[in-house]
Parts: sequence; structure tokens; C-alpha cells
Amino acid sequence: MWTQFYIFAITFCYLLLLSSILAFGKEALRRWATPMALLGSLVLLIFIIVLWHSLGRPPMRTMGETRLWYSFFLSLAGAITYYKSRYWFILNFASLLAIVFIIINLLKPEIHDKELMPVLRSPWFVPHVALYMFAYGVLACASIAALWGILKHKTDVLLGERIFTLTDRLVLLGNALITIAMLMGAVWAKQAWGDYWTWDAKENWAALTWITYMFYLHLRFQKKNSTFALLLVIVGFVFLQICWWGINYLPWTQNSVHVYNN
Amino acid sequence: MTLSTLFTFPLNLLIIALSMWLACYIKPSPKRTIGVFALMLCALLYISCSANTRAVAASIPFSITVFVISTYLWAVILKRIKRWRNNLYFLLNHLGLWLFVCTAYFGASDNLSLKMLATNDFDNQCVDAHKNTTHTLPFYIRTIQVGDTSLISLCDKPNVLPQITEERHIALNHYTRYKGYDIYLFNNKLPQPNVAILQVERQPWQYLSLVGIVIMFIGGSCMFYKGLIQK
Repeated sequence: MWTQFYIFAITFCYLLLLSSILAFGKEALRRWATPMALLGSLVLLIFIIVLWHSLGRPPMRTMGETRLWYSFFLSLAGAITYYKSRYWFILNFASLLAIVFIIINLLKPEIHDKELMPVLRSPWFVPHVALYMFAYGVLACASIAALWGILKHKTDVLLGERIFTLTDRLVLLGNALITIAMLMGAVWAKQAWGDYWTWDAKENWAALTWITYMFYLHLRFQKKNSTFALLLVIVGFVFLQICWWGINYLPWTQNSVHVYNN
Repeated sequence: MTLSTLFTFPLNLLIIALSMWLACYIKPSPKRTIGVFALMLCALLYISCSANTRAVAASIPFSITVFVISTYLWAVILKRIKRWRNNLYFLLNHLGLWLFVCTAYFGASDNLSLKMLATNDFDNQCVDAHKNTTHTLPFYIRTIQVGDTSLISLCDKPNVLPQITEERHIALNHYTRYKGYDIYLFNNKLPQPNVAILQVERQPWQYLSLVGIVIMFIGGSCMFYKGLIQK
């Protein structure tokens, strides 16, 4: 199945690029931006489902497989956020990021064998990973909004206010998803390893990500519209990336029990 | 000195009580909340960048950080509890978090994490790998069949006839609970036939931690839902 990936990948990238171009156009054209992005997400979803069927296990084990989910959820979150907010930069940057991860998958194909290691054969596996990936997609959109807010909120107060509201909603949703996924992970860890929390590298970075977004939310509950608050969203996104794939490259995290790709 | 040697029962209970008492003298403010979050961020960043995370988590500086966080959290709860009708969901959320932090962190020193070489004969001797000590279980275990799903037999007194035994299946992701102990299949790939290494866990505070998580989750969900409705 993986040999046919390039067909789906090219279609996905084409539809996302098209939706990004349409988002710049006139009102009549802009209306087509969301359906095009959703269609792109659907193409990738079809590939994921077919891959799942051909592998006989959820395609969530390797980095390459999680990148597929990330691109899917990111394009979906970007399309929905654009539909709700009409900010072209959300759709464009989300599409760009999703395309980058798909291109990485094209350039760095991984072995997608049918074997699923015993610890991953758990009913918690699919909801835990899927929720995390969805949260990552939503929080990537929040980071794009925050970056735009840092650039604009001092020069355009009204736009700044709107961007803060949008970022709040995205962070609230993303962090709620992270909370549920983290709790699921804790219950799963108890079943597999005997403890809810083992201070493993991945767990620590996940907690750090969660706290960073909580910090942002508490600042916003205090009505603070500062650059620092928006910076926290960006920092949270960096922590999130380290938590997801960065720990594979950090020298002091190599004995993590969560490193599955090797 | 680490957490495991310092905070065992009843000292952990006294520390929680001390934290609650100190909280009465703290006035939460937005600036202090930001300070506590900054402290949490620094502590977690430090532990995330450490190679030996378990040792850092059990160190005195990290324990003091958790103590400060739990104290401040209780101070926030005390402040809001006066107008509890208006702050019910907030209180549930923060109370659950406080309960979870206190019981999961300060209660961790009462946890037992043991390994046992289980054979065809009943045995109750385990090894605590972290503390390098042996431990005698209040019941006996033996293996009946070892594989990906293993069958074990449990009994209270193996030398007294008639033996009342219980048979349980254990596998990876599927543990069994017996007399407050959780029994896991740790290694079933040993060269000797019908021999397995079992992991035996005892976490006396885990139910309180779970209650904390549930309360926190209910409070958080209600806050989230209320926020959606208001928007």
C-alpha cells in the first residue's frame, strides 16, 4: 500500500495548495477554499484507512505513520479554523506545515511492517494517539494565530483582540484534548507497567507542554493581552514537537520506554 | 536523601497538613499565580532535561517545588471556597488537582514496586529493586502455565490443607489485583520452563489519586462546557 502513497500525497498537496491560493481570492473564490482543504483531508483519510486495512493494525506506530495523522488533523483543523475565522494565514500556514510533513514522509519512507509490539496491543492505543494528534493539529493552528498576533497585535488593536480570542479557543480545545489523552495514557501505563506516572522523558515533555498551555490560559483568564502570553503558545508548540519527535534525537532521552520507532 | 526515604507514612500526611496550614497565611494574587506557574515550568523543564529523571523527581529541591505548588493550590481553594456557589466548577477542578498532586507525589513514597521469580512452587519472597531490599508478601504465588498469557495460582497459606487457591490470568496490559497488590507479568521469556518474573505493585494512595483525577475532570469539563455556552 505504501508504494501508492505518492498518488495520495500529490493529490493532498495539490488540493491544499489550491485551497491556500483560493483563500487569497475574491469572496466567490474564497468560499471554495474550505471545501478544497477538506477534500485534501479526506484524500489523506482514505489513504490512512486503506493503510490500516492493509497493515491489519492501526497505522500509529512509527514516526512516518504519526506524521500522516498529524498532516490529516492539521489540514482539518486549519480548514475548520479558516471557515470559522476567515483568516487566510491560518489555512495557508496549516496547509504548508501539513505539506512539509507529507513531503518528509515521501523523502524518508519508513518500514511499515505488520508487527505491533505487545505493549501497544491495548484498547487505549488508538484513542490515546488519535486524540494527541488531533490536539497537535489544533495547537499548531493556535501557534500560527499566536505568531500572527505577535506581529500584529501592537499595530492593529482590533485584529489583536480577535487573534487573542481565536488563540484562546484553540488552546482551550487543544489543551482539553491533551488532558484527556494524557489521562488515557496514564491509565494505559498503569495497565502495562504498573504505574500511572513513571517520570519517563516523553511523559515529562508532555507535562511540560500541558503546563505551558495552562500557563497561557491562566494569563488570559487574568485578561492579559501581552506578547509574553502569545510567546508561551509558541514555546508550548516547540515543547510539543520535542515531545512528539524531538525526544528521539535528544541524547539524554534515549532510554525512554516511549521510543517505538527503532 | 530522597523522597522515598523521607516522606513515608505518616510523615507525608503531616507534610500535607503543614502545607494546608501554611496556605491559610498565603493570599493568592494574579502575580503570585504567574510566579507559581513559572516555578512549575522551570521545575518541569529541569526534569525534562535531566538524564536521571526519577532521581530528580525524588530530590529535595523538586519536593520543595511540589510542596510550594500544593500549598498555593490549597490557598487558591480557600480563597474561592467562601463564594463556593459561584465557583463550584473551579473549586472542583482545583480541589481534584490538589488531591491528585498531594496523593500521587507525597503518597508515592508508600508505594511498593517488587519483582518476584515465580516458579511451580508457592513463594512469597520479592525483591525491591529500587531500595535493594527483600519483601515478604502476605500471600503466596506460583505459576501454572507461562506464556504471553500466563496462569498463576494465589493462596494465603500453602502448607495448610485443604488449600484455598485462586487462579488468575495475567498478560501484558492485563494485570490482576489480589489483597491490595497488583500483579503484572514482567518477563515470560526466561530459559527455564514455567518460570516467569512477576512485578508486584502496591500503591495505597492510588484510589485517592483516582478520585482527584475524576473530580478534576468533572470540574474541568463543566468549566469548558460553561465557557462554550457563554460564548
